[in-house]
Amino acid sequence: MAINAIILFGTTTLSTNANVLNRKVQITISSTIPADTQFQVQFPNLPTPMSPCTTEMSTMIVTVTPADRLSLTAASGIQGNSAPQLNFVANSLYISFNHDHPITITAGTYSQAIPITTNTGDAFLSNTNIQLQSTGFLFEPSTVFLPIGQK
Amino acid sequence: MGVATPRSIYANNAYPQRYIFVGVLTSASSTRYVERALLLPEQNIQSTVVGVVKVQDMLGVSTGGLYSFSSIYAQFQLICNVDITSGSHLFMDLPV
Repeated sequence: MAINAIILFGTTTLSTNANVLNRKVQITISSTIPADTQFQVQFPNLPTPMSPCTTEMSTMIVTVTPADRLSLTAASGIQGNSAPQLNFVANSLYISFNHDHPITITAGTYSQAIPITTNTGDAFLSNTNIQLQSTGFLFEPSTVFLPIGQK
Repeated sequence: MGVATPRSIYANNAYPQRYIFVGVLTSASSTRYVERALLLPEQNIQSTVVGVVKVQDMLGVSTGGLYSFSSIYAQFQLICNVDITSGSHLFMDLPV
């Protein structure tokens, strides 16, 4: 999987696709970052944990390798990091399918129409485009547009 | 309990720093752990790694009310005491 990453240092901005394997992100640096220069690594759309939790971001492990990846140029130590602790909480508002009830489908057939609503039953506060995808299932339609104000 | 470290010839002078999960089961068929821990071993096999990279901060992020099962605009601020030359790879092992 690849995600977009942005590197910033001085007046230089580098945009690149980063490879992701589980929790490890690999970014290829396309311009030399001088020693002792603060730089930023930005991920515009970084997924958060699936469930509520507290994460100590200083436990992140960062390593730098040459292009051949056969040795290490630099590495981080957890004691040397000073990133914050982040608290992730559950969002009480979410999109509900079938009013949170299980859906039973006979193999080879279509289910009944599945209602898509806000979990509170209130109207949508923005235009929402939902793409439906699940291995082994075919959704008809595969994209559902829910306009603002619809309940 | 001891955990074997990689031999240099295998590790290629790498910096083997990984999480180690330790779980205790009451029996081989147990479906849950009665005790568990996530160790963050700080190995000493780093004599050949001269560079130090530090994660200094996360910018523009609230530490209190982030939503799980969502996404954020993450901005990590780092610094390294050696040049990170063009073509290098930066690996970030994000925490649990």
